[in-house]
Amino acid sequence: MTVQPPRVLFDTTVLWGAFHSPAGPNAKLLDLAAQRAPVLDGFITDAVGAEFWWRVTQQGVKGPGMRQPRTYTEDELAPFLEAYEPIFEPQALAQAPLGRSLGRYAGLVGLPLGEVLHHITGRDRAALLASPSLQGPMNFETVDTADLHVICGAIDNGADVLCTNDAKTLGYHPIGALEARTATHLATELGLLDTAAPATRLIRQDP
Amino acid sequence: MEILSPEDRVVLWRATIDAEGRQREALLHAIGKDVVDSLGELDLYGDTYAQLVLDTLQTLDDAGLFARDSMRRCLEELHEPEGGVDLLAAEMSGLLRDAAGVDHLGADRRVRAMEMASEWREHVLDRRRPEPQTISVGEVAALYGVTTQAVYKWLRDERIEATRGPGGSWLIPAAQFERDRRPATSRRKLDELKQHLVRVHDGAELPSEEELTADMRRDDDQ
Repeated sequence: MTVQPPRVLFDTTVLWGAFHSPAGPNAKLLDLAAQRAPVLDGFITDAVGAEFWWRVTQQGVKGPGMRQPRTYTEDELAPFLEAYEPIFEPQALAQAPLGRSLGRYAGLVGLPLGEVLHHITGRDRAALLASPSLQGPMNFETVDTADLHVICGAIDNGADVLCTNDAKTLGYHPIGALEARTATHLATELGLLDTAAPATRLIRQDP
Repeated sequence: MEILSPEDRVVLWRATIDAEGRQREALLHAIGKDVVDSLGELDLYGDTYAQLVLDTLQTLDDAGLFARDSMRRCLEELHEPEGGVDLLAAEMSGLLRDAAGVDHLGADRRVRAMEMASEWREHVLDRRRPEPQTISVGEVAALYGVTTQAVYKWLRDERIEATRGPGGSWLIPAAQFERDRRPATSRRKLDELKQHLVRVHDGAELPSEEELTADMRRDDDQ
């Protein structure tokens, strides 16, 4: 018997990292997911996909010494979307029950975060409230509501792992059966990063 | 033409790691020649691969990847009848993909590293037997563009199905890799993407991956 491949939600930080470092751990994970390798079942949500597109084409990235952020054209982005089509195609996109704003859930501000997630996703209330990191009240000081869609998307779509490089999201770990891992952590678990030290130099002995 | 024994090849590999400058270059060349001769003796690879072998070893060395223990293992097992050649070819392919991320090589050599990775990969997969029941570690690595070390880890962690053959080698049922019927991307498309992105980012002073995430967080907070 083999172990069940983990169902992994990639957030925008992973897509963003893969776009900038095509040989890095983020890209290695996406490669496996897009090839349907039997060692992980990776996916993104519509909200993550939209956020990524906005980052690349509208917001961009500011390198050292740059005054204006560097944005990318649709032509520059297109090969990325095409190569990872199995992840980005509309039929493959999972639906996130929440966007980057609370919208109609704004009235839930002040309730424990686990309670809020229960209302949004309909998932087991007791399990959500059992997570120590979800017992505090959700307010604009303690919770980044713009990122709540990632956790909701993971819970709502049965993810085992939320793959993110965002320290704030990693702070919610664990939520019921959902664990947050960095791309480096997950890639190491899958043997995609060589953590063994290279061979040491020979020590010459005097005759 | 004298082919080195597995033990001597490892000694040569170690001596190469220990050497510097022109001596290192000469030893690297000697390993390359031995690998080419070995492949020739096995009658699996034509002369066209001679330059590819040398370029590959040089690139891996310049990228700091030649000293990986996985290289030693693959050089040692080159003559194993159960896929020893595939093992080395797939490992070089996987490591070349890592080399494509090594900034100091420069964009042209990083793109070339990806091209060479594709060549090795295609060669392994092209030689696959028709409708094989089981496939080798090297073939699985080539299939997904990972190193052989990743596949060994999948086997150890029981992430893929396999049994041990009479000689202790892994027998990996091929059917499991076709079980997922959802659309999948091709390795070739991914290889082309990597080359495209290396060119897109060439010359741009981008933040590190950690800084990219911190940058996103700052933007969100504003």
